[in-house]
Amino acid sequence: MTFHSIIKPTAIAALLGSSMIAAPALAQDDYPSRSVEVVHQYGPGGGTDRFVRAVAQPFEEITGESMVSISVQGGGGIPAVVNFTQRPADGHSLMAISPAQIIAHVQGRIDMADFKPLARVQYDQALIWVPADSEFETIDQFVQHAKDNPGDLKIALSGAAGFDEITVGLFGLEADAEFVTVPFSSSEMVSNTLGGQVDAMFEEYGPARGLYDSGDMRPLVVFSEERLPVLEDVPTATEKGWDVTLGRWRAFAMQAEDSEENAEALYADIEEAVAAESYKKFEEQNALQYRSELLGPDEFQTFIEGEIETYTTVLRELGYIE
Amino acid sequence: MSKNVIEFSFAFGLCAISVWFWLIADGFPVSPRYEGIDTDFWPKITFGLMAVASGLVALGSLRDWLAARRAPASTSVNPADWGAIGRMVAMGLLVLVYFIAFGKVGFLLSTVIFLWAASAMIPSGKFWIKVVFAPVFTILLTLLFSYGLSLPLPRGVGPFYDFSLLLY
Amino acid sequence: MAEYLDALTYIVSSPTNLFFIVFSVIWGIAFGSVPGLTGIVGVALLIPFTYAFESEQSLLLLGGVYVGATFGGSISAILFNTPGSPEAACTALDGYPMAKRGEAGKALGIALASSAIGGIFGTLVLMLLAPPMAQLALEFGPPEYFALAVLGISAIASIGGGSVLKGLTAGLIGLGIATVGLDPITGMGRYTFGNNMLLTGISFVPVIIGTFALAEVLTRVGEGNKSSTAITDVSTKLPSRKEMKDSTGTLARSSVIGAIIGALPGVGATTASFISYSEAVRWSRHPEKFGTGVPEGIAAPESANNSAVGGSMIPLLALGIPGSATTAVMLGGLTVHGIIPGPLLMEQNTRLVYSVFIAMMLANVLMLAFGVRAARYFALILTVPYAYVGPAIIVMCMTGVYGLNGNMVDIGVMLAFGVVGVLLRVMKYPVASFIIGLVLGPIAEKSLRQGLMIADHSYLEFAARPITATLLLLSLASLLYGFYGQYKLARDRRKDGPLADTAD
Repeated sequence: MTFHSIIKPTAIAALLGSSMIAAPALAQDDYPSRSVEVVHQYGPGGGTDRFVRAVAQPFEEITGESMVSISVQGGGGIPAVVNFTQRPADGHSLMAISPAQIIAHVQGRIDMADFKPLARVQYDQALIWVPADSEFETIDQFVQHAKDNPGDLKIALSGAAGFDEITVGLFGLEADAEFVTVPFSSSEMVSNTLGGQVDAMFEEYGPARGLYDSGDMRPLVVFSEERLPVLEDVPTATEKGWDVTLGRWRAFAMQAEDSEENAEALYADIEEAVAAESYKKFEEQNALQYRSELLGPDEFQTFIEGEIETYTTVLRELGYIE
Repeated sequence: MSKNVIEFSFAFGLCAISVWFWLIADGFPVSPRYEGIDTDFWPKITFGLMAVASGLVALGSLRDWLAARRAPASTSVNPADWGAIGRMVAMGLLVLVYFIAFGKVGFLLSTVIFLWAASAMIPSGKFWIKVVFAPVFTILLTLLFSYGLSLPLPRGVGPFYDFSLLLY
Repeated sequence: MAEYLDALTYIVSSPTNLFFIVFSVIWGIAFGSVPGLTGIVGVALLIPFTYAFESEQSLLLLGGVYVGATFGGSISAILFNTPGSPEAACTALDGYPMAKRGEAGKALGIALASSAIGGIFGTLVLMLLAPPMAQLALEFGPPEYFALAVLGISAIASIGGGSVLKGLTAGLIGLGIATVGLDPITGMGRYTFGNNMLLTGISFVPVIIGTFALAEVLTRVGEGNKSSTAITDVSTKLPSRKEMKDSTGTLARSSVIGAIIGALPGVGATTASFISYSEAVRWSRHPEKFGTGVPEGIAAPESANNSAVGGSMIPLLALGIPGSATTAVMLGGLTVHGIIPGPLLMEQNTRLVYSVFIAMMLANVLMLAFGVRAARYFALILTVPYAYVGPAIIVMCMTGVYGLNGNMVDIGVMLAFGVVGVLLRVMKYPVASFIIGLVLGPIAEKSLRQGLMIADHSYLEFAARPITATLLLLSLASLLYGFYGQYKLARDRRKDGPLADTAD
């Protein structure tokens, strides 16, 4: 390993004159000049980790620098945000954000002002699924049953007081029907639904499509603006007059103090990476291509503001915040 | 101090903590949505049972203590090994300092210094091996984690962050 | 049969495939044995590399790592009282005392043989019974999970050989500690004292590393000259055939428990090893000896956690549901190859599925073959002076725990529990009960509340299910039996004890 002999003198110099180097980095022509690290709150191998790695592959070919996924798990994502904000704002530390950050912001646990929105890459859509032997054939029957028997229908979802619970909660409010939402881990959610312990589950199309293909699960309604091309018969909630289009999205954010120049440069790289064939293939394998539209810094900022507004309203109506 | 007194104080302490935690649970925010199984449901069961169990342990050791006092012949005197406690506290403090430095100074520097200090505190082994072992082991671990597995190692803050950045 | 032949030809026809199996087992053992780095990390790190290979090859690789890592954890558990991965925590309870007696080779040998036996059993169940086992797993709703957790927890009173009340208290401390952090149902913070970082809660890996590894290093430093010199008379003798034969009942019971619990989604090798340790104590004729280095105390958790590996592949392959955190990561790796996880996976990817069967079988056999040779050399590590080993263990633990989650809170938790571990030992509260409470407590809590939500808050409806009721009654009987044993002991002591006239 030769790098040690080369690097050591510089390292000492850096230690002595570090205050100069540590000053907020100006846009350099060679930015990014080292590996870009993306902090996120999910485990290695999870959806977000795979998302970062999928972008990283073309990103490396484009910029010549690597993109590394850093997993800081637990605590509703708070430790990940703390880890991220403690890093210097030199453009080489990003965070992969999702509705989880919006929810934590609305609950007052973190501050979205710590982030500079960079690019929203994925936008998923979820559905309500019932097991094949369920008595419910359509969403209307399902909602009518809930109206006639408040609290009788149990919907399994993953995670407590998170995106899933809020979306189903909003669905209940919009449809004026009372559901009991039971939080599980995502695998137990499926097994409990298949095993008939609960009546339905809430899940994105990608992870559930295997169960649809085999005929074990039936989708009743999709929460999106438009029907899914692969599920032409499944109505959207909006069609039925329930305004629920919340979807799980995955995006990159920079430090709030990062320079505009760096943001522009990096966005251009990400835009190219996301258009690359390898990423497109990944998107298709995970059934994420239906409404994933790339949003740049400004559009994403507007989108986030809208999300904060929506989640604040829903969380208040559901009684999570005052 | 007699063994029974220490036993009693420890169990009584546990009992007091569980009562305290039960009371904290009583103050958790409640929501009509989760009536009957709210946030406080399980902590109250757990700490309630713990208060009972540790309370019974405390009573038991109190009884033993009183019994032992009435029969002084069987009083067991527990000579505290102050040397052992001192060594443990010293190592504990060293680990605590290492923990703080681990985050602030970064992995490389804090680990080399910790390994030197800790191996010096343990009276076996050879001096020069200890001197060489610390940097060698640290560098091997850095190579393994940072380059081999690309797992994060703490880089410290401020100037230490920049220093660490040049190496891993 | 044709499927097996096809898969076997596929594997044997390419040296790359064989190399993958060998490599993955070694990689897995290495990951398992480093504290903090678990099989999940080992699998996750390999996934990017598998992009370049065929889907069969990538699953060979991941399956081998999973098998190796589950055994690997026991090496550091036995040698340094440092469970390399959570599923090896129980192995340390009896493995380390045995190694400390100078019988490290024997302890490693028992762990290895039990791992291989459990692993092969689990793979056989996977090969022969996957569809019915998957159906059985679907019968398990929250009430059944709750009853299973309670059954394991009910053993806390009988473990440790000391006072029943102290065992209960230690177990309840574990249960209580597990309540810190986010509530699993309402998402509220508990016992965070206004600090949002504490929402992480007290995670299991840092706690076991603290209570086992750190507490052990502190204790040995405290002992000073007495024990800081290396254990010089390390026997590298492996267990005799007779010694293994004595554990036959434990091995059989634990392998079955492991396969069933492994097949349940959401719980895996760790839960399996704890419940089978509890059962080993419960069914033993000398329960008080557990924790002092008995062979069954190693055989039970090791056979169960390796059997759970095969078990947890069942829902993955039969239903597309990962049975454990590691298989969840594997599932993510499969989608990269265009495989859609779901009930059709077995039909659509016959060769893939049968290659995994054969690879897991081979991995277990290889593990045994390598391990037997390696165990002797591993045991010799104990002859290295503690001045190098002790501090190095602390550094490894800090680094491993940080590498796992990148979270400084976890390291703080590890240090705090180093102190708690020392206190529990000194005050003679059984550490085994404490960690059983810690592992099974959250499962009990979550499933009790989920079950009550589903049963419209009716405890009767919750418990009136055949599996639930049976398991709950068994737990109650066990708890009462523990108290009865204690009562009998106390009565006998009162009859002829020295304090006979003053105690009443």
